Amino acid sequence: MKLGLFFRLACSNIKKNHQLYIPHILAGTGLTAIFYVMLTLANDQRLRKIKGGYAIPSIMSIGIAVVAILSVILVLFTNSFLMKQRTREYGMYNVLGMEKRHVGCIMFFENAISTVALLVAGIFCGMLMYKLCCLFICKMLNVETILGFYMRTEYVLKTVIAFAAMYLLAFLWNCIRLARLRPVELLASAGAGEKEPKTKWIMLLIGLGTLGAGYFIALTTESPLKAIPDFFKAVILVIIGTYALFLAGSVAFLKLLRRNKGFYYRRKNMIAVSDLLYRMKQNAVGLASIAILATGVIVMISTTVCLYTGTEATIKKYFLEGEADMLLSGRYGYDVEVPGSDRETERHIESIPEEKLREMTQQIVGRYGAEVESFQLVRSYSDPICFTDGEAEVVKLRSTLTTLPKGTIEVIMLPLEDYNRICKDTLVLKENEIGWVALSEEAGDLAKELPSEISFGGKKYTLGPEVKHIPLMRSEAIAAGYYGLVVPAMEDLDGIVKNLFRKENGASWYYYNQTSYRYYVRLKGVKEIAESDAMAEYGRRESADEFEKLVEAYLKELDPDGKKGYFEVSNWETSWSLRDELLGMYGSLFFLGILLSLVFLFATALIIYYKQISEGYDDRGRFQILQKVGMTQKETKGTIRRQIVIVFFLPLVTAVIHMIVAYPVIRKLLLLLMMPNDKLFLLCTALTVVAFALIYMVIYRLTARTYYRIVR
Amino acid sequence: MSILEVSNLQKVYTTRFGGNKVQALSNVTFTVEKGEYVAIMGESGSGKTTLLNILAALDRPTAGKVLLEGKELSGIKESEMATFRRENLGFVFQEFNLLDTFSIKDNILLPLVLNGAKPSELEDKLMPIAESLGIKELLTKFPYEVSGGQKQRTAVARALITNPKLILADEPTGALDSKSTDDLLRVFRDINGLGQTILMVTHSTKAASHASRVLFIRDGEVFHQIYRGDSTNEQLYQKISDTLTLLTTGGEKR
Repeated sequence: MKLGLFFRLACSNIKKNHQLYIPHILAGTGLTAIFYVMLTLANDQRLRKIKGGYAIPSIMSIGIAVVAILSVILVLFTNSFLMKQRTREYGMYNVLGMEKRHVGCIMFFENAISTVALLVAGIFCGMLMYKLCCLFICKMLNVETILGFYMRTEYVLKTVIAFAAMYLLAFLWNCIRLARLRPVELLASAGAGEKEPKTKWIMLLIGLGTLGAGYFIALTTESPLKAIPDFFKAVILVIIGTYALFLAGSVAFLKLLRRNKGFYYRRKNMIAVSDLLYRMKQNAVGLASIAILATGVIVMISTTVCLYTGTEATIKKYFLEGEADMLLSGRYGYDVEVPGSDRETERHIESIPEEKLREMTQQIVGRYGAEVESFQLVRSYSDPICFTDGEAEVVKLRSTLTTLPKGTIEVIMLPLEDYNRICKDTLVLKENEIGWVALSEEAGDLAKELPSEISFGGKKYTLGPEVKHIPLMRSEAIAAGYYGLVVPAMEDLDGIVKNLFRKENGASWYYYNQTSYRYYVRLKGVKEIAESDAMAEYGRRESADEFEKLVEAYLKELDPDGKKGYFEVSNWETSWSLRDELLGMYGSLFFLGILLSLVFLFATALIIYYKQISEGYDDRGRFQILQKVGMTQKETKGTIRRQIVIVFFLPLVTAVIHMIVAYPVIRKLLLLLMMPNDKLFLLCTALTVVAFALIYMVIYRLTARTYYRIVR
Repeated sequence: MSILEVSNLQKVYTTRFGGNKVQALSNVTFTVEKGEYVAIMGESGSGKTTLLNILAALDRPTAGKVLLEGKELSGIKESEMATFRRENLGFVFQEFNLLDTFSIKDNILLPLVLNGAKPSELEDKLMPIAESLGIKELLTKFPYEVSGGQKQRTAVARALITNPKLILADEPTGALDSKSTDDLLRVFRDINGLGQTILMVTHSTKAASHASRVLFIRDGEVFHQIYRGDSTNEQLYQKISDTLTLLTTGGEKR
C-alpha cells in the first residue's frame, strides 16, 4: 500500500523533473549502448574471419576500458548533479512528515525506474547500433557485408550488470548524503550568498608550471622514437595544467581586470567581469573537463582519419612509389655463435641466387594467375648515426627511452648502381665521394651540418653533391633528421658497414644491423592474385606461407645440417596483404576513435547542459535585479549572452591551442605508424576542428534554449 | 511646484485568454510636491504594488496619466525607458536587490556605471554618500557579509547616487528588525531634510508615521489622506492607526 504510494510519487517526481531526468536517461542510454557495442565487437567471431578484421577485437578491448572508466565518472557526475538539484525537494518530504527511510524509498524507486528505463533503451539501441556498426566496418574494410543478427545473452547480461552496479553505487552514495543531512539544511535556501572566490596562488603556479612543461616537451621532442613517452608525459602535464589554470588562472585574471579601474568601471565590463568570476568558481572543473574531452576528440579523430584515408598513399610509398607490387627482403646471415668471442666470422656463405628467387616467386604467383614482370634489387644499410668531428658512430638503442646523442641522424646508404636504377638517374661519383639527400622534413642541409670530410671507422670520404629523392620508406623512425647517402660502389658500402662495426668489439648487435637486400617485384595480374590469394591469419596471405616453405626447402637442400650461415630472404610482403593489414588496423582505430568520440561528446553535452540549468537558476535572480536597477531587457540579455559565449568558447579555444601545440609531437607519432604525408594530417586536423566546433555549437544551441527558458 | 502628478490612473489586468478582467486601480489621482515625503498605505491587494510599478515605469496604465516634472511617462519610448528610469528615479526594495557578485562599493556604483560615468568621477560621488549613510567602512565587503540594515542602506546609497528626482521605496523596512528600521527611517528623514523627494509604499504604520503625508489606498482608489501638519511622529502614528482601523472595519469613504 505504502510502497504503491512511493512508487507513484517517484513516477510523478521524474515527470515533474523531466528537465533533469531526460538528459540523465539519455546519457545512460548512450553509454550503455556503446559499452554493449564494444563488448560485442570485441568478441564477435564473425569479424575475426573477415579480411582485415583481425585487429578489431584487440583494439576494441582497449576501448572498453576507456568507456568503462568514463562511464563511472559520468554516472557519478550526473547523479551528484541530480541530487544537488533535488535536495530541497527531499527536505520538503522530510519536513512534511516522512521519515528518512521513506524518502530513501522514494529515491530508490526513482533510481530504479530511471535505471531500468535507460538499461532497456540502452540495450535496444545497442543492438540496433551493433547492426549499423557491422555495416560500417564492412564498408570501411571493403568487404562483403556480413548479414544476420548477432546477439549473445552473455554480453547483454554483462552490460546490464556493469551499469546496474554503477547506478546502485550512485544510489548508495545518495543514501549516505541523505542520512547525513538535517531537514533544516535540506530546506536552507541556496540564495544564502556565495563567498567570493579566492585567488589560489599556489595552484596558479602549479598550473603555469605544468602547462608550460607539457607544452615545452611537446614542442621540443625531436626524435620520433621519443615521441611516445614524451607524448604521454606531455598529456598528463597538460591535463593537470588545464585543470589548475581553469580553477586558479581564470580567477586571478578576472581579479586583475577588476583591479584596473579604467577597464572595470565600464558599462560593458563591470557586470561581465564580476559575474564571470562567480561562474568560474562553479564551473571551472566542468569547463576544464570539456576542454580536455574536446582535445581528446580532436586528437583521436584527426589522427585516425588521417591514417585511414592515407592507407593507399602509405602502400604506394612502401612499394617504391607504386613501382612495385611485392617486396622480398632479407639480410646476410653471419655465423656468430658467441657474441664477443673471436669466433666471430664473416662467413656469409651461400646465398639464394637472384634467379632462384625469381623462379620461386614466379612459381608461387603463377598459381594465382599472375606473372613476374620485373625483379630489381636494392641494397641498403640504415641506422641512426652520430658524427663527432666527422667520425661516424652507430647509435645503439637499448630501449625506447634511450636519449639520442645530440646531432644523431638517421641514414639510409646505398650504392650508386642501385641508386641510379631506382631513381632513374645518371649520377657519377668520384672515388671516395658520397652523395646525399634530405629525406625528412626536419632534415636540413647536410653539407652545413657536417665537415666536408667524414670518416667511417677510419675510411675517409668527402661529402659530394646533393642527389635526387630516394623513394625508400624508412622502416623505423628513430631520429628526426633522415638522410639518404649514396656511396660510389657496393664495395664501399660493405666496407663502411664493416668498419662501423669493427670498432664494436664483438657486439651481438650486428646480426641485425647489416646491409639489407630488397627485391622489388612488379607483377602482371595483381588484381587476380589479390583476389584469389586467401587470408591465412593476421593480415598474412597464403602466398606468404607458401613462399616461406619454398625457401625452407631450398635451404635444407643447400645446407642440410643447418651449420652454415645463409642469406635469408623470408620476408614476403605484397601490396594486397599490406592493404588488408593497414585497412584492418587503421579502420579499427578509426572506428574506435568514432565510438570514443561519441562517448566524449555525450560527456561534453551533459556537462554543458547541466551547467546551463544550474546557471540559469542563478542568473534568473540576477537578471531581474539588473532590470529593476535600470538596465533595459536588451542590455541585460546582451551581457548575459556575452558571458555565456565567453564561457562557451573558452574550452573550445583551449582545445584548439592544445591541438596546435600537440601537432608536432603527434606528427612524429604518426611517423612511427608509417603515416605518409604531413599535408594530409594538417587537412584532417583542420577538418576535425571545424567539424567538432560545429557539433559543439549545435550542442550549445540546444542547451542554451533550456537556459533562456529558465531565465525568462 | 509638483514633481509628480498622477491623474485618473486606471489599470485593468486581463487574463491571458481574455475573459476575466481584474481591476487593480480604478481611479487614482494625487500629486507629490518637490521635497515631499509621501507614504502610501493599503492592504494586500489594494493596488499599492501596481501603482508603484506604474510610477516606476515598469508597467503601463490602462488609462490616466503620470507626469514626472511635467513629462508624461507613457510618452517615453520603450527604448529610452530604462535610461529615463536610471536618470530620474531611484529605487529601494524590500528585498534589497543587491547583486551578491558585487562588493558594496560596486553595488552602489552600478547605476552610475550604467549611465556611462567616467571611472574617475565615481569615487568623488561615492564617498560623501557612503559617509552620510555610515557605510564607508563596509565598501569593500560583500552583501553576504553585512547585516540587513547595512544592506538596505547600501540600496539607499545606490538609489541616491544618480541624484534622482524621486526615490521610490517599496516596503523598505519590510525585511528589517526594529533597530535597523529606526536607522533606515532616520536616513530617509535626513535625506528628505536635504530636499530629496521620497515616495514610499509601506505596510508599516511606524514607517508611514515618519512621512510628511500619508495616502491610503483601498480597492484601487485613494481612500483617504493625512497631512502631518504640526503633528509629531507619535501623533501621526495615532492618526494612521485610527484610519487603518476604520479601513479594516469597513468605514465608508468620507
